[in-house]
Amino acid sequence: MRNLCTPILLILMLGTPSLAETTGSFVQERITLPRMDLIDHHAQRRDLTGDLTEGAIIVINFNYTLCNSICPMGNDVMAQVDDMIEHVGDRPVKLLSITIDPTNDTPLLLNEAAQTFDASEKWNWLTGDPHDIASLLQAVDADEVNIELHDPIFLVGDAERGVFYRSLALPTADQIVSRINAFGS
Amino acid sequence: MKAACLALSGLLSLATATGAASDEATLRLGHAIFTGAIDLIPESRRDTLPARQLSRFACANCHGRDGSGGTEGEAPPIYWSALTTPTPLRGGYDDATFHNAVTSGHTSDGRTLSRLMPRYPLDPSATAALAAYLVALPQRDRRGVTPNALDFCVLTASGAETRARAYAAILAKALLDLAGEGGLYGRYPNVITLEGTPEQMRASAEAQCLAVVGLPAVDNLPLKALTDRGVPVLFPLAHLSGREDHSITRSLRPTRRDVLAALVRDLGAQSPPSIHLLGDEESKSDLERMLRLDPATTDIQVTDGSDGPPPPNTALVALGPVPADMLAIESSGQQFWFLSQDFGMQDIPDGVATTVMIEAPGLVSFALGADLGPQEAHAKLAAEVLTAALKVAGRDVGRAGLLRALDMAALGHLGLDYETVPLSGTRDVLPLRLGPAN
Repeated sequence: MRNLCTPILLILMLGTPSLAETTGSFVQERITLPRMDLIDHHAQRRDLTGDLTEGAIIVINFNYTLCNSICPMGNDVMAQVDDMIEHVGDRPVKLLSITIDPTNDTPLLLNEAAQTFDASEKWNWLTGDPHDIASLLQAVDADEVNIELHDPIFLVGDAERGVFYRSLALPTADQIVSRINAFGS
Repeated sequence: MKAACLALSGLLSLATATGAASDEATLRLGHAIFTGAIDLIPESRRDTLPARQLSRFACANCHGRDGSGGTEGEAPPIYWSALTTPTPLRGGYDDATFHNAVTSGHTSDGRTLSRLMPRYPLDPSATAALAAYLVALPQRDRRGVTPNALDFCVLTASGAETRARAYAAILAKALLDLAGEGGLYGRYPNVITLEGTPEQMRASAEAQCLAVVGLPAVDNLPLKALTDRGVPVLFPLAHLSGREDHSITRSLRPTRRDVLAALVRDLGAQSPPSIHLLGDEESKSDLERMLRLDPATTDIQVTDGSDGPPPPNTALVALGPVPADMLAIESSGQQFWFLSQDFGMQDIPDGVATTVMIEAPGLVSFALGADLGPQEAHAKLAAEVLTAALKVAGRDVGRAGLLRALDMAALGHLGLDYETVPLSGTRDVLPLRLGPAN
């Protein structure tokens, strides 16, 4: 079984200290989200670097609807965050759940999953072209095998500034909200 | 207070997990907690258990229905003998430390468990019931497996006894033929036809069947009543909806959701100016929602008869039998779409352009190639798939292992791939064009 997450994080933390600073259960990183359109759970085309993220503090996690074991744990944390926070200062908080199985995960399946977790309008469940999803996973250093077999990955950040906090293990909703609030201080 | 709870937990658990045989009510509660089958929780316990959490994060989801562990999240085995055996990472659990692990997330020697292991607010009697279930689990998972036989069951719909017996006979012969003289690891497949009330059949299936095969499509034999009790249901005759748990049920044909999704894709490709839905309200509502959630059809006008007759050049989509007067409108340019199970019941006038959505064309070819009727084809195909899975599962087969083996069985020659499409093995639906426009 591959476990690439820890070495990657260690390299980031040791090799680029100015960019990778550990804060509690998170490590700070610089990430530039690639430009691409995704499809949300209402079958609407959305711009990853536009309307999905502009002006907002965002929380990203990765999942897939066939996953019945650890993905629901991550989704449950997202659901708690969804209930806990709307804004940081005057900036909206947006949640992005992005599938790693775009071939299977249609807007219909994502819509059903969103209903299961009582997702509000600020929580977008997203699929897209498989090549685009692969590019996105690469851009955020998210290994597909790790997402399937290990702790769910959470990214909390400001996409316009490229500043993100990556979870080191499954975080609590309180830890994510604390990270979100740090962007307002 | 905490010490008192632990002591109480220990006393309760001694009577169950490590003691003599537990009573069936305790085991049923443990099963409900383990599998998240919250409908089985007695009314008197509903308020004391976190039903939503148990349903969403059931132990079996990560640790497997046989408790043998899972790869996702590196979930360890948790049948009782595995828990009580020390590992390099921890000492052996006893009743009190098991309660502590489940409720507060600490191993037997105090290490904090990953947060991937939920913390369940269960009282000591609930964790005792769960422990008792984990003691019994290896034996319960091997129900239907005897030293010499693998017992599969066919349930009988009221008034259809002859049909059930015929299906069981075809299935049994095909299984024995495929097993050959040496059997499967020394055991021979056996098919038991269960008759009686639905509750009697459910109880028998729970007690003695490795799996129920070819469940009849009747309302008083719901699939969920069997799967909630831990009985695998393989290849039911009715569609699966698409929302079932593939660790306990599988189909030979695309799910209802997959059939409708194929219909939506075909409509999107044809791009008619409007779509008129015909059928029961639930089916129409389901399909309308699916049309709205597909980027290719989301902007097409959809009508359902509540706002007058369909306009010219409309796609008429039948989600069930269609009234005769709706079939006599070919002059206004409409085309019909039918699902395959409804098409044979319709008297389509000559000259009407029609598309029939043929489910699992590979399976249809299997039946036509061997010149088999639908029931015979289903039973023989079920036998082929079961035999392939049993060979993969090996001699130590149980209910959960049989279901897992389906994912690894080589079934490409039958058009099935349960690793890619876990619930049904296939999503293939072929639009077959009939009529003058095609």
